[in-house]
Amino acid sequence: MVLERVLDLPFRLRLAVLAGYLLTFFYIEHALADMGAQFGILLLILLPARYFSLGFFTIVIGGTIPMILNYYVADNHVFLIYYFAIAFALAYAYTDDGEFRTAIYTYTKFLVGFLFLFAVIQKAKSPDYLSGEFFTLTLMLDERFFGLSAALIGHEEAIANLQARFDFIDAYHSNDPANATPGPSRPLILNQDLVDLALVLTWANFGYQAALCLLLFARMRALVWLKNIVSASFIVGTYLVAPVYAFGAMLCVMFYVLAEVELPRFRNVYLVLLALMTVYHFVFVGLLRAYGVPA
Amino acid sequence: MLRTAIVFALPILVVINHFYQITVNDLSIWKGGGMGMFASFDSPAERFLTIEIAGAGAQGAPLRLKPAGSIAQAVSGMVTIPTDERLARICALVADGGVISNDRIFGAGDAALAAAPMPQKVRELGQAEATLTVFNTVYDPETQQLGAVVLNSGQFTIAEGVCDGA
Repeated sequence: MVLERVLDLPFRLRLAVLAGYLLTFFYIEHALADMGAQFGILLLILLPARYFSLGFFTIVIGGTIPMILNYYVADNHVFLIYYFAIAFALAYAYTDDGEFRTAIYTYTKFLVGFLFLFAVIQKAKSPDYLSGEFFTLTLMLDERFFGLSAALIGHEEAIANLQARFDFIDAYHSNDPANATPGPSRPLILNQDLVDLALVLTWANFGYQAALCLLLFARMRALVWLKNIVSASFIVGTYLVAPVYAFGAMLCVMFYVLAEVELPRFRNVYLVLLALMTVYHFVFVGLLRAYGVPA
Repeated sequence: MLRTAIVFALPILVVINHFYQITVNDLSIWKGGGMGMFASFDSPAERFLTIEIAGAGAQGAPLRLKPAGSIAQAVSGMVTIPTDERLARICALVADGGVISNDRIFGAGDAALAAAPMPQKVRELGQAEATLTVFNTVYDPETQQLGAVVLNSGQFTIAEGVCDGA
């Protein structure tokens, strides 16, 4: 009992720090709002404990204005951070640590379930996802995958694909009489290896998300370990393929909350992942960019 | 109970709006909180806007403007959900401060026209008819070619830096 209380207190405080940290990624493209939020978060430490939840909630509500202004531009993880921040502020208002723990666990489980459920629904109903077409095009046309594409179809061919897309769109903006009526692009270059890899990426991604979705709602105790292994490897895999730091950090914090209640022995894995991701993002990538290496 | 209702209702309301806007206003599946990123080729990056000023190009051809600077930034937000109102808002920006693209290209034999002084901004054109069209890139697996489909289009009259209908 005493041990539980000791563990509860750091959880509440640790989560307050993590939630405040996530909030700094919530204010988008508004320097003043961003600065205001960061000051506000720092000022929270000066508030008496009983006003912390109200103060946090005020910052989140203040962020609603830039959120609405950027509503259709904001990435999905910004929505997620917003939901989580509201959930955290509402849960924090419970002064009893047990109630706080139960509330934040329930809210987070819903939000993570919501995320993966709709990610799976969107992919299942997409006209071009399950066929592998989406990842085929992504490999050919997304510059972040240029290295992979070049390794599969050849360097010149990978450049030709990017150039074909550029020329295709450029024709619509051109005043050259030859482009008076722009037509389709030059045929893109692909081979069976690229198509096969696209299918692997498609089904690995879909399978992972569907499995997580099922495991999140599974009530079998024996599956808790499996769920955490799947979720931790999903975070690593997703971050390696599409390194969106705020999304990775959000996932780490959310799964940390779930593990705190379901599998405390695993919770620090998510904090370590968050730390590694932070070092990679702010130190390693920063150094690469400083030395002119594309990252 | 109220707290739980708030936490549960908010994402559900957002996702209902996401699907509504996809159906009615061609919102990109990637945006609007629907958790549809990396689910389809229909990302905002595959959408683009063309701006044509009637008769302002070489030999009376339409002059195409390439959105640049702050207009390009506004366009990248607009194409995610290209409603009539948002098209009109871009037209207002173009009319007010749109810079005539400096890659205005003339065909062979248009040297005299090319050398002539050109308006630098749309407002210097006087009255002009502008057509704004939002395209989405599509892929044909048979031919392996990219093509474009129109998502929305609007015609506006620009006069003295004001876009009629904006």
